[in-house]
Amino acid sequence: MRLTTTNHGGDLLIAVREDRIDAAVALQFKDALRTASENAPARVVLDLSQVGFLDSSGLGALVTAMKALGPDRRLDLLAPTPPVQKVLRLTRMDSVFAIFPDEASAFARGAVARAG
Amino acid sequence: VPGDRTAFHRTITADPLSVRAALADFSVSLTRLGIAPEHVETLELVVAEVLNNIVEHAYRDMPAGEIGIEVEARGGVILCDVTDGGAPMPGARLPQGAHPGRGTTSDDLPEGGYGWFLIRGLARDLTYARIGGRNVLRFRIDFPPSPAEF
Repeated sequence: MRLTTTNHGGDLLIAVREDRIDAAVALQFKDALRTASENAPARVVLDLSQVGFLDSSGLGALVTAMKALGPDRRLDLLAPTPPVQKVLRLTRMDSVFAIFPDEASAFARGAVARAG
Repeated sequence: VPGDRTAFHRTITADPLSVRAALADFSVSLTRLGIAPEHVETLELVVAEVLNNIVEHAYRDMPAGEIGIEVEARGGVILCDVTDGGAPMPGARLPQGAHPGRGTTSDDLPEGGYGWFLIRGLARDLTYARIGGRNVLRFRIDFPPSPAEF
């Protein structure tokens, strides 16, 4: 499971360098996300732009990661591809996560306030 | 009969990497039939959820057995037949597939259970039977899929 982390103006940007988040890698993904977001700042942004497939086990890992951050920190999603957007929409996770189409909007001043 | 054709036929071992490989072949087969990528992605998702459930639940307490997958394409419809030799569905019936987060807030949102919700929303005419010690799941997916039941 390849994740790269970058400090982006005080936010933690985690980029997923995998084509698929499916049942074969969901546990590794969950563990890698936990490790990557240890001691995370108030906001973690997960870049999904390279992920072309997400199933319900991958979705479960996203929920786990969000809950692990606790009430004082947030997990936002960046640039999901159309098939991933579809899963997020069908499962109504688009109302749970703030989703940004690109880095410019994700890291624009006031992005979090607008996302609610 | 013109228009009737087997789109995909495979017997795999019930483990996550075999499922992943079968899904890749499944997508290639559907693409070769001229089905648009966005519909192929949705069909792949439904079949993925069905296969994952078999790996995770039907074969949970026994060595991984086989899963049979037969797919037929007829016009704008995909007919799928998935069989396995794992444990029967609890209560011999398919899960209702309600949204697992119904009535919860994001703080106590369940981390699993979205698979059947997706299957129920995207597949039609789901039937389940236990035949000769095997689970037989049949369903239809129209494409473009119309998630009307969400």
